[in-house]
Amino acid sequence: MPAPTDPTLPRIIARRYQLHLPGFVYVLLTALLVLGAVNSQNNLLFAIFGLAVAGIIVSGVVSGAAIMGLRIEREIIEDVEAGRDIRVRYRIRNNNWLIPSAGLAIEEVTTDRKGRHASTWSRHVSPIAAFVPWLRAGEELIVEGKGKAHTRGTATLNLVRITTTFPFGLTKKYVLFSQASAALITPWTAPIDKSSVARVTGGWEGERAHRTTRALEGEFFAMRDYARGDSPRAVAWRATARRGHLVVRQNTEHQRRRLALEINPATMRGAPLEIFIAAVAGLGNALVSQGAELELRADNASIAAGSGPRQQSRITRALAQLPSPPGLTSPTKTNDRSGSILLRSLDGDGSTSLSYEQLIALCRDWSAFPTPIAHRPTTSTSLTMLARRVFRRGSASKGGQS
Amino acid sequence: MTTLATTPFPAARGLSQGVTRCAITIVILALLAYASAGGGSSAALGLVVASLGWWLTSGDRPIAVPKWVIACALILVVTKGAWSLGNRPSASIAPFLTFLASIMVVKCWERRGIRDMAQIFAIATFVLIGAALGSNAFATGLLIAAAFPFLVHGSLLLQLEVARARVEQLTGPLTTATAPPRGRPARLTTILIAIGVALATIVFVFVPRTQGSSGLSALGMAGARVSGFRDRVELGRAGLISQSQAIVMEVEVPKGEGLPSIAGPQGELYLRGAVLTSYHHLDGDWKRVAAWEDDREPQDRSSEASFPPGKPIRLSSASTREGVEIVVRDKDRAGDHRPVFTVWRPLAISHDSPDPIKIDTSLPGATATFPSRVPSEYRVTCALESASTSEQEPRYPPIDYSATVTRVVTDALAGSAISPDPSLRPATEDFRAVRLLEQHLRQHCSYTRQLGAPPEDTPPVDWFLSTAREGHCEYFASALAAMCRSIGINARVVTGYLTGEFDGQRRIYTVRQASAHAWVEAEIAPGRWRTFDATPSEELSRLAGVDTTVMLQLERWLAGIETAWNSSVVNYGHASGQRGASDSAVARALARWSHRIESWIQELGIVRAITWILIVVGAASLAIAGVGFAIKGALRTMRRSSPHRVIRTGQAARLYERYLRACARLGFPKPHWVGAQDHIGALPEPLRPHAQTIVAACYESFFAASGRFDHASVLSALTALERSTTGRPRRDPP
Repeated sequence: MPAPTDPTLPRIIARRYQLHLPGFVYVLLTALLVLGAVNSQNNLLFAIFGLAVAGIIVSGVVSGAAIMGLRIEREIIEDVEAGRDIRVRYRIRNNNWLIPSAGLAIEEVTTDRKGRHASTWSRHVSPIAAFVPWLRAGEELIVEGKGKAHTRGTATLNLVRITTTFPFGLTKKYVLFSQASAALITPWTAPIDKSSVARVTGGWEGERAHRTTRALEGEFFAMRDYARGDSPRAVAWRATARRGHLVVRQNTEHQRRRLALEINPATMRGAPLEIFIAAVAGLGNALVSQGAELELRADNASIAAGSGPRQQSRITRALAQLPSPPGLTSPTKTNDRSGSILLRSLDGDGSTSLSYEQLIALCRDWSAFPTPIAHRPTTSTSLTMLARRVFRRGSASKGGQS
Repeated sequence: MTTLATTPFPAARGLSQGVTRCAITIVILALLAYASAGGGSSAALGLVVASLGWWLTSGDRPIAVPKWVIACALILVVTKGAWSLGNRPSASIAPFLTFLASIMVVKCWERRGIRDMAQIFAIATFVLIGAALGSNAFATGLLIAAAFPFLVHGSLLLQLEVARARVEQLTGPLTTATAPPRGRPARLTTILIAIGVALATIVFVFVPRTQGSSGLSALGMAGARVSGFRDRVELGRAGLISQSQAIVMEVEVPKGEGLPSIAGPQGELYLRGAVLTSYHHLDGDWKRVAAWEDDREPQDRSSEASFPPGKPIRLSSASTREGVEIVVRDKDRAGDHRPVFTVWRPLAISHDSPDPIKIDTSLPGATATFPSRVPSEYRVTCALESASTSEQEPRYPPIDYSATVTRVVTDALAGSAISPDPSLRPATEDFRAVRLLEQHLRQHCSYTRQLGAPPEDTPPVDWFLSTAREGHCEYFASALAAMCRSIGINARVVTGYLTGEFDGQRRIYTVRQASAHAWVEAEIAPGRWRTFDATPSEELSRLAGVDTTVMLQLERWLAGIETAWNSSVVNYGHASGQRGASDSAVARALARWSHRIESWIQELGIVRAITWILIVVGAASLAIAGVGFAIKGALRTMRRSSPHRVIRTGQAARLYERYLRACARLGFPKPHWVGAQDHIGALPEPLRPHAQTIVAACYESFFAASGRFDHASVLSALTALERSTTGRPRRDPP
């Protein structure tokens, strides 16, 4: 019976040793040293050759042992708003009983060399990496990797790679772990002030008495018997004493503004969807924070009416998971900015349609809107990479000539 | 212990101080090694420029040298290197070394990142290796040994910086701890160096010497040794006069009181090495050939004989009773055709080396050489005087070398009533004539070790006698011999050592490299040769080691260390007396194979041989990889098939085994890959409480820190389980 493999548990899927350029030069130098020593019978060269060979042996033993005993586990990742740093905590342990590991670069990778174990984090966050300068034998350490979240959505993380060139940089070694994790990147919330909200809601400036320190709001309406779930602070103790059973005060409630945001990404012909979503998130956030009861209506993400911070969170999470219609995954270069949202009053006193331009104009500052950071390709100097580059260049030049 | 590595650390730093310190140290050591390998003033200048560059480009307000300035400097250095290489008549390591050192100095002005620092480390390593090629001096070895720990430590720290830079390239400046715990890298470096030195020593000891050099000489990389003594005189060329106080030889003389009889009046001892008879006046070259005539090509009259250890070989028909026995302990033993050092003509020779030694006795002046291997110690019985009929040469007519020589001889003999013409001069006056010439040179020429080369069209001896009037011992000897020959007296130049450093207690003369000397032997009567030395007497005192200043004593003390270095490292394996691991059966087998490969390379040619080697190495690599994969697969299969057992002992283990047997008997065997709790879940309901009690108690005993074990409850539960009739019916074996 094969042991079940839980994808959320870390497991090693690859270990690699690459002889890169410095290592190749070192080996070549060692070969030249022995040629020179044999040729000239110079014992000092024989001694240096001995040291060079010792360097290769020691490097092989130390680097192999240092990478073999490493284990890493990714801890649960918190959701983060686009534009903020995403922090991933790794629990790394060196199981070797004698040899320390050092100079460890921990990186999230999208796929392995054969394209397996794919993950989606690179669409949502910038590269995540952490550095461990020294890990003693048997030591366990928690390190924090940092990246920048730039695009809303569910970022799945699967492969984490630990790379080192320790101790002498002759070979580049890495060990690849697989552990499934995910993080929700909520959309960037565009800052929208009260005046803008008033402009789109027909002069509504929010609930003044929304936040109060008193337990109960509004005016006294009537007394009624205590029901399970009533606040103890609502109990009318004198009346209770008189009547002999628990009675509570019943007050009038504020009449909140009840609104619904209707969005349909399918209508966003040519409009940059992420900017649109950010503006919607900002508007929703502004409305809820001013006391409105807000409902979100979308094709695949509808949230019932509600208020308060939890509702804000629900709306942003729903917007985060709003699927992108085909053709709207990236900002288009055309000037076609069609698309709109409908802000409808649930109390039946009208609705407001906001075009893309109007929606954008509500936000006072778009400078902080996160954009995907171009991931700089790593300048690997492994011999295989060099050979590939040369081969590609050669084939490209051939193609150009033909 | 789990700790959170979130120590605040200032962002935006440069390289760690450890790397920088290691780099500057290794640059200084590399430049010093370059100086010890002959860099001299260039190294001093480089040290100043590198230090200035380092100082300006570091600190709180570093100066960023523009990239184009560095590029221009590098182009300049490369051009100069190419120019000096092109102007060299022969291949030499010196211009390469200068080129590398210059590049390293320029790089000290450009330290922008890890890549630059890594380049500095690499170039410094090349300079150190180049210095080892250029010089085998103790100072060079010491500097390389001193640089090694910094190289290891710097490389180690540099790898930490590489990893940090890699992460910062992806995420921006780090805000968590980026420095390793204090002292940890240094500790690891120490361990690595200890292991590395041990491995390097093993490699150094076990690599067979003197094998493969002939095969590789086709590549044209043969090295050359520089020594104070040479069996040839080439006037006008630098590098012949060594001032090293390294001990090259110890000569034990017979027991007795006072100075030995073979020594001179002041206790000085002339040790003859090579007798040079062939002289080319235009070049100023003295060579050792079979006959002493001028301009005569050497003839191959080698008469080599091999003689076993312990048994003396007679080199002369004269009785050994006529001579005196000295013991020579040669500490240099470098090169082929090293002379048998004696005082006068060797009569017999013996050695104690384990292997037979060859000797060549076909040389002029009654000298002999070891054609290949030199014994570390040999005994020579040498004649007490030079008279020998076998050395009698016909009286050759005077040779008119040049007007300068003739004029100087005329001046020297003027007023002495001795005629330069041999037909007018009686043979008994020859001794006086030579003495007068010797006196003349001593009075009119001075000694110096810093002599420039003579003009190309001027014979060196003429230039010495007429223009320079100063020179070293080879000039004095050459001039005296030429002057003797110009008046019809047979004369020859002898190279060897002149020492006066005598230990009366041990009866040992110490011979140093700086004691290398050249003098003249002239035939003052038929078959009677006598030593003449025109070198000024004060210089002879220095050569003989009579000078005992504090500085010289200090220099000699350091030279003692150098000698130990030479005998234990530089000459390791070349000496017959050192029978270490390189003489083991393994080494001999390696040597045999090496010989076969050499002959094979010579047969095939270097290109075809390299092609074949590459093919063989590739095939061997594939075979090794195949075997490795097969072993790995077999191990994996074995690991999979072997049951995973946890070995436990004690009461709890015994009862747990009994529980497993009971479960199996009941028809519910526990597979080793199924956890205990899962197995309990698979048991029938009535059995579960008993099983739970047993497993909980046993596991607590196995894994809990307390290790307590409730034996009674486990036993009762086990008994209940064993007596239970619940379960599947037992299946009979087929």
